[in-house]
Amino acid sequence: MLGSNNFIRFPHRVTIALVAMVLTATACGGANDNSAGSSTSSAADSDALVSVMRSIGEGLDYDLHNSPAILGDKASLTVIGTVTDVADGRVFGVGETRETEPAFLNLTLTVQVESVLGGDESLIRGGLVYVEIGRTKEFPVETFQKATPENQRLVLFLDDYTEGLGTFPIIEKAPSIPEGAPVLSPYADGFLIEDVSSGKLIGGFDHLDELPPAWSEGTTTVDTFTAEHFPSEELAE
Amino acid sequence: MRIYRHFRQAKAKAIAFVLGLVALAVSVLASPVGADVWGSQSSTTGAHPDGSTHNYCWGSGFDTNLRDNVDEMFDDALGGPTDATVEFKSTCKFSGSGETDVVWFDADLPGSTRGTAPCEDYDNGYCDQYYVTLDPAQINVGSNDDADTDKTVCHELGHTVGLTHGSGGGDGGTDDCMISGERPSTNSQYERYSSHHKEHINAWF
Repeated sequence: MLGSNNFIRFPHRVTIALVAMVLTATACGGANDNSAGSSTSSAADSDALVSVMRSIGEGLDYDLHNSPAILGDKASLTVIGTVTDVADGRVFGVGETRETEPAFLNLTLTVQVESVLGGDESLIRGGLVYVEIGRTKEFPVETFQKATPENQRLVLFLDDYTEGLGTFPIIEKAPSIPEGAPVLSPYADGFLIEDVSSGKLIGGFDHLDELPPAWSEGTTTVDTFTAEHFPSEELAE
Repeated sequence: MRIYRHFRQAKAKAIAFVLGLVALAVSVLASPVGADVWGSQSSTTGAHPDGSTHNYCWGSGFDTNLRDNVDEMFDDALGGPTDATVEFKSTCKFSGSGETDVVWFDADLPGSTRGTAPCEDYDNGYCDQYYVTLDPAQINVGSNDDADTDKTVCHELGHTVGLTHGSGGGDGGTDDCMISGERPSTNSQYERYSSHHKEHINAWF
């Protein structure tokens, strides 16, 4: 009976381990499954925001810029700032309300500007920039609010997106954007999150390590990023 | 003795089963099918569509110059080389049962974004409808505009059948239209799906 018990227990444990191994392999995640955003060692709060941004980023096909300086030259405005508010954004569409499809939803991040690294400072209103990010019905504003920690610091390379999609009119204004204020939207490789726990710069839509090598050179924190890539703007405010 | 012989036979079968699993695991790990992420089953891009005919329509004002590229990619990248069946719908359906799977738009997207393909309606574990938006001005930066359009259309279409970008080099990552940004060359591989991605598609449809 002892042998019989051993017989039952031995293959059961091994089989479970091997089945798990097979399932892991067939899940196609492998060593390359970094795009899901859960591979960083940052604090939980910034992880949640990173995870949300990676989910959005996975749906974008965009042109990478070889270095922060190159993107800085192209961007309408490049800033370091802190998120002070996350709210619903403008809605573009064909009907009178967002209920008539197609409707294109957004959210608005209000960001208190700490430093300007380049671009047109007239796009800043009262020390704030209004940053628009596309979302779907599947990504409620509450998801972003819960994922964004208090005092979340960002480095933002922004495109003047006041005119929006162009092919569809605005059918709802953003409640948090004052009348006439410019609306900016981040380049996909220009939304960099500082981990609130460690202070490290960890990327956004894509992880910093997934961008061209120049993006990571000399970069561990916002300060080292600025010193490396925007030395003349290091102390500008 | 008889009980012991049965025990030994059963144990031999168990060991053979375990060795079979080991062989399967090794073969799967060595296969290129381990190279990227198949549909995340989340409500975002990479969500699986339903497994029936993958149909599509033109959203309001969709650029007539892009329509041939979309038709071509549906037929030549998806419908022909894979087990997926495709169908054009002259009218888009945005709600209820039988929503059109893929609705195509064009717009000025932010920054250097060429295209997006978010799941707009996620229901019962599947994506009922994707909005695909192309930015022709960004796609046409540089040369080979028509080839670039085919690549981006193929790329976004790939998202609507559950493909993600993958990462790393080679099969499933960078050798077909699921590569991000400017296509490396006009080679036709960049307006088609790799064998790896076709395996994923065929397994689903």
